[in-house]
Amino acid sequence: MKLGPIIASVAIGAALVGAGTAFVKNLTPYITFSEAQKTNGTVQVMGGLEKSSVKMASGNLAFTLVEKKTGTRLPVVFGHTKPANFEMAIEITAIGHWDGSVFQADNLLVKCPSKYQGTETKSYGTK
Amino acid sequence: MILGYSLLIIALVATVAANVLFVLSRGQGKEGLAKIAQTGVSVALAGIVGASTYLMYLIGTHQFAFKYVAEYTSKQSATRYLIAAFWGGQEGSILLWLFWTALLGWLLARKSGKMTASVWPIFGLIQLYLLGLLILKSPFKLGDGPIPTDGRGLNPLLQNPWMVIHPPILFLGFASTAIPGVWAVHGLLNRDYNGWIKHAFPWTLFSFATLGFGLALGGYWAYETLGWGGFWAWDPVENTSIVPWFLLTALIHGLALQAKNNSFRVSNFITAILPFAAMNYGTFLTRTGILADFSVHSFSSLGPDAYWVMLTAIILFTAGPIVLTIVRWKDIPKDKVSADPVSREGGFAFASILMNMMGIAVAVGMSAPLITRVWMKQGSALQADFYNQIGFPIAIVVNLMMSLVPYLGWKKGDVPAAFKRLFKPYLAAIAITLVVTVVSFVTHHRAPLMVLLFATSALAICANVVLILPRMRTKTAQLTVGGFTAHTGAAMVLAGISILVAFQYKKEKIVLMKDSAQFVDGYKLTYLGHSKQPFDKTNTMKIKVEEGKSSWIAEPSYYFAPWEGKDTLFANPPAINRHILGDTYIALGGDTNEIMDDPDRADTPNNQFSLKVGEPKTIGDYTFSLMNVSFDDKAAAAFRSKDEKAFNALPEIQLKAIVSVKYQGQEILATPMIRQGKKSGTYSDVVTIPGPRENVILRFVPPPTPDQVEEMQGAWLSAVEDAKKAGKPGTPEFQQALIPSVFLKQQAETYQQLATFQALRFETWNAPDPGEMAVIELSTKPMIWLVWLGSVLYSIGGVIAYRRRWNELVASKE
Repeated sequence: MKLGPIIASVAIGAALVGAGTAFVKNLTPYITFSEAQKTNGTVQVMGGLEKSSVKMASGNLAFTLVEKKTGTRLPVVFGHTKPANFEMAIEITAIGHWDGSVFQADNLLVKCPSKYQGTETKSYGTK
Repeated sequence: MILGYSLLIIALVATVAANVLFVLSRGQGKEGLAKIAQTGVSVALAGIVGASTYLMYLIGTHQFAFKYVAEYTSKQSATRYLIAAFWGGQEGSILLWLFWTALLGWLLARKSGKMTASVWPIFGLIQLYLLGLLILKSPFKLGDGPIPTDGRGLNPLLQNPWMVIHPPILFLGFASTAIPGVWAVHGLLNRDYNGWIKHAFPWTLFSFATLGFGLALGGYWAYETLGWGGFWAWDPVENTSIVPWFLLTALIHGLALQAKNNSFRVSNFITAILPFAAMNYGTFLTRTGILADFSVHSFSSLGPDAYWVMLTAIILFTAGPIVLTIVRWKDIPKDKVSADPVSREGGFAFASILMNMMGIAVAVGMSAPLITRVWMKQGSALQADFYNQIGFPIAIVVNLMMSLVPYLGWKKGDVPAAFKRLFKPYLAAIAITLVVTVVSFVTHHRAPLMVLLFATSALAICANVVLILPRMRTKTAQLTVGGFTAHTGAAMVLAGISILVAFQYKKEKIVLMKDSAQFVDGYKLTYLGHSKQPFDKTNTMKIKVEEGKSSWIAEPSYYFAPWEGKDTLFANPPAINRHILGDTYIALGGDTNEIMDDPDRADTPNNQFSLKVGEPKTIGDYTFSLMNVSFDDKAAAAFRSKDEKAFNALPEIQLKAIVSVKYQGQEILATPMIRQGKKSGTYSDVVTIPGPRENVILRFVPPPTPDQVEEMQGAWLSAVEDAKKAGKPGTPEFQQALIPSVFLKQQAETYQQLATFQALRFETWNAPDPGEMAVIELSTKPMIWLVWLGSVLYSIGGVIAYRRRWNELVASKE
C-alpha cells in the first residue's frame, strides 16, 4: 500500500528533473563575442552597431557588431525583414548561433534612443 | 489636471474612510456606520468613474497640454482610437485596471450581505494600492514646455479595432483575480475554513472566463493584424496573463474538491492567493523595465518610485496571506479523506497539482533573467521552446485525465467500467486520429509527439461531448455542463495547436515582380501592384492568389507613416483567406526599399533629390522647379527677426513649398508641406501628382533630427580614422579606404543643411516605382479555427459553471 507515495515521489522527481533540464537547455546567456564563436548552440550577444557595415545582400541584412569593452567585432547575418529604426540603434542584442564564419541571428532586439519614452526596445525576427 | 487629481484623491479618501468605517462597524448596533461605509464605497467608485470620464473627455477634446493626451492621440485619430488611447499607455491601463477594481469592489460591497464589513476592508487595500500607484503615475500630468498643437497619435501598430475590445476584457479578468484571494484571506482571518469557498468559487470562475477570453482575443488580434503569423509567443507580457489563468484553473479544481468532501483546505488557501500575486508579479516584471532586454513588448519603465510601490504591494499581497496561512496552519482542520487515488477525487487533486505546476513553470520561465543573475552577470532569457517542452507532455497528460476522470466515480473509480462507457468516444477518437496520422505520413509531416497530442485531444473532445449532449435536455442539467464544455474547449485548442505544429507551412521572402506569375508550393501568385500610393493609410499590395481552381486577391496592408521622427513602414494587417481546412496567410516578407538598396540592384535610380529656386530638375518625364518656400507666419516672423531662440522655442514649424511640375507639356503646381513639432515629431504631407502614371507623389524628405546629424558626423569622422589605419594619408591604400567616408561626409553635410532648412530635399515615388515589386511571406494555418472555437468554448464553460456556483451561493443564503 506504500506504493502510491513512492510512485508519486518518483513522478514528481522525474518532472522536476525534466523541467530543470529544459530550463538549463533553453537558456540563451549573454556571452562575449569570443565565447560565441566557440559555442555551437543558441546564444545571445550584445554590442554596438558599426553603422558603415550595414549591407543588404539578396534580402539578407548583414552588419557588424562591436563589443563595447573589448572592441571585438562580430559579423552578423539576419535573414528577416530589416527592423525599423535599425540604423538609429544604440545597442543591438542578437540571438542566434555562430556558423563558423558569421553569426546567424534569428532574433534582434534593437535599442533605440526615443525622444518620447527614453530608451525603447523592440524585437524582430522569428517567434 | 487639478480635476483629475482631485477625483483620484476623493476616491482615495473615500476608500480609506470606507475601510475604517467597515472595521469600526463590526459589532452590535453599529449598522449605521456600515451604511456610511457603503456610501464611501460608492463615492470611491464615483471618483474613479469620474476620473476615467475626465480622461476620456481630455482625449476627446484634444487637450494636448496633458502629456498623456499628447503622447497617445492626435487630431487625426479616429474616434475608436481615441477610445483605445485611454488604455494605450501605461498610466491609462492602470486606470482601466482600477476602474474594473472599483466596479467589482462596489459589487462586492452590495452582494456580500452581513459579511461586507469584514470582507471589504481586505479588498479596500488593493483599491488603495492601485489608487496610490495611479496618483503617482497619473495620466493627468501636464507636459513640460509649450503646448503642442497636435499629439503624437497612437502607435499605428495598436490602431486596429481589437485594441478597443481586447484590453477592457483582459483587465476585467486581471482585476477579478483579486476576489478569490480576498475571500481566502477573509476565511483565514475569521477562522472560516469552509464557508469562504462558496463566495470565492463563482468569482474564480468569472475570473477564469474573462481572463481566458481576454487571452483568446489577444491571440486572435496578434494573428489577424500583426502579421507574424502566430497567436502566442510566450512573451513576458503574455505570460503575465496566462500564469494567473493556469493558477485559477488549479483553484477551480481544488475548490470543487473541497466543496465535495472538505479536503484540500490548506492548498486552496494558497492557490486562491496565487493568481493575484502572480498577476502583480508579472505586472511588476513587465512595467518596471526589468525585462526590457528580453521582451518583445516595449513597455517603458514606470520609474523608480513606482518600482518601490509595486514591489511593496507584491510583498504585502503575497507574503501577507501566506504568512497568515502558516499562522493558521495548525488550526485548519484536515479531514481524513478515504478516497482511492483512482477516483474522481484523485483526478481533481492531480488536475489541481498539474495546473499549479504549469503556472509555476511559466512563472519560473519568465523569471529566468532574474533567476540566472544569481550565477550569471547579465542574466539570461529562455528560448520559447522551454514552454513547449514542459507544456506538451503536461498537455498530453491533461488530455488523458480530461477523458478519463469524468467517467470515474467519487471515492472509488471503476476503471474497467469507465473504459466501457468510453468505448464510443474511443472509437470516434481513434478514427479521427487515424485519418490525421495517415495524412501526416502521406504529406511527410511526421511529428510523433504531435500525433500523440492530437490523439489525446480528440479523445478528450469526444469523451466530453458525449457527456454534454444528454444533459442539454433539461434546464437544471444544462447548468452542470460547464466543466465538460471547458474541457472540450481546452482539448480543442490543444488539437488545433498540434495540427498547426505538425502541418504548418511557411515560405519566407517570396519576391514577386509586377504582373508576372510565380509558383510557390501549389500556389500561383501574381502581384498586381499597389491599390493606392504608399503614404495612404489604406494602401495595400494586391496579389492574385490561385490555389487550384479557386482564386482570391490578397491585400496585405503596406503604408508609410511618420513615427518616431521618420517614415516608418507599417505592414499590417496581413491578408488571410479563411477556409475550413485552414487559412492561407500572406504578410509582408520584407521592405521593398531594402531590396532597392541591395547591391545586386544598384542600377535602380535614387528617387530623392534636392531642389533650389531657379534650378529645375528633370526626372523621367517630369521636370520639377521650386518656385517659392515659406515658413508659417509665426516661424517666418521669428526667422526674419533672426531671433534664433524664439524660432527654436516654437512648438511647431511649418514649411511650405510651391513646386511646378511639368510633364508632357502640362504644368501643375504642387504644394508639399512639412510640419515639425516638438512633441508630435515630423509630418510630411504627400502631394499626389495627377498624370499619365499612377503613384507619382511628391513630398519633402523629412529632415533628420539633431541626434542623427551628430551621429552621421561621428560615423564620417570614424571612417576617416579607419582609413588612416589602412595607410598613411596620401597613399593609395588610404585613398581606397577613404571611399566610404566620402559618402558619409556628403550625407553628414546634407543632414546638417537639412536640419536647419537651408536646402530642400524632395522625393518622388515614380519610376521605377517600388510598386513594381513585392516581397511577401506565405504560410498556411491548417484548421486554426479549432484554436478560436476552443477558446470560445472554454470561456463559455467558465460562464456556465459561474452561473451554477452563483446560484448555489444565492441558495445557501436563503
